[in-house]
Amino acid sequence: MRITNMHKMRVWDLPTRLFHWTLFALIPLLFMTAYAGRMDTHAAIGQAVLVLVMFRLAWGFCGSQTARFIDFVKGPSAIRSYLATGQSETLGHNPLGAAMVLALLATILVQALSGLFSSDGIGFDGPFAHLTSSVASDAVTRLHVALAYLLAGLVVIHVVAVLLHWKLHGENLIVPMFSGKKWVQAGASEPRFTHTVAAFAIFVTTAVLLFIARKTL
Amino acid sequence: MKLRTLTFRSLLVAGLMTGLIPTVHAADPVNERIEGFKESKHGIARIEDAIQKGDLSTVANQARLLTIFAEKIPGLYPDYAKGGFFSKAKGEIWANFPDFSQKAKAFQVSSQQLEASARVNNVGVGALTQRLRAVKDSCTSCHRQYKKGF
Repeated sequence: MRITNMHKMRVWDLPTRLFHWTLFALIPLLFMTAYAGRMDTHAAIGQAVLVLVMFRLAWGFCGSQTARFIDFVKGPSAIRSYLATGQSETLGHNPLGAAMVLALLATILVQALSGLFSSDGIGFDGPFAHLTSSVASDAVTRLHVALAYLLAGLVVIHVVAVLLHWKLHGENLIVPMFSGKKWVQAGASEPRFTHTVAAFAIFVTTAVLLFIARKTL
Repeated sequence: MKLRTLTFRSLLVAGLMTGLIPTVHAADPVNERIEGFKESKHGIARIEDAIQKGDLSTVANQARLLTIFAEKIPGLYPDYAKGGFFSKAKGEIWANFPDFSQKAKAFQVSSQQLEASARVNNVGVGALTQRLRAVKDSCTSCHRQYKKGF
């Protein structure tokens, strides 16, 4: 996509990229451990994913510009405009990508939370399953299993969409999520970045809060 | 001519349907056992809560349902219904069918004992919890050997 009025600019901060690719690695592991019946490992990874998602939600309010929800969540009219023109106002996620970000974050969050309260009924309990009745835990487990299929579907749609975007618009979205740099129009302003130390602090705080909750509840 | 054609077509359809019944029937054990195990899991959850509430009637009734399903288990694993790629049923079931049947029997017996205990007046939570533990152990024992991913 190298044409004369475009240049490479840093768009994605390190915390956002690390979040994305860590999730990319952990979600397949969650499916594999669930299928293999490795529930202790599944639970541990699930809690790591919960910490990641909680971090990303916080980062969406106080992180770098392109990571903030207010930057890329524009509503249905923006999606319609993007579909009609192929032009996005934002340097980061386009409106369709924004919808997928929200769908994935919401699904993964509910999935991780429901996992905390789930139980297999005979030998494995999630860390907070004891806080509810067995019938409630059983119902939450059913939700957890059902959402797994939704999550798998969303991931497939996401991957296909990224590849289709590459094919139809000639824009590779994968490399920028590694390097942080995208080809942008000349004259585009560099986004504001929040220091990575802030991201680390949020991540550690979230992990500590979950640890404390597990120990005290 | 028309009546002959209609009768021939009717016989042809009836013949095809009769031929398809074994195929349709073949799918039933797999779905029935999947649903049966799911329902057993829900039943165990109801029993746990009922024991805590002292609702002996629910404990007994749910245990009865477990017994009924446990009795059916061996019959839900015929040779022709080993399940698809994602089936949780290991091949060892059919290789060690007598042992598998014994484990299903253990599930049945432990469920019957739980029901019997729940129908005794003034039975304690401890006794019922122990009986339920025996039911769960029978599940674990079978799953360990015959269920994929356990």
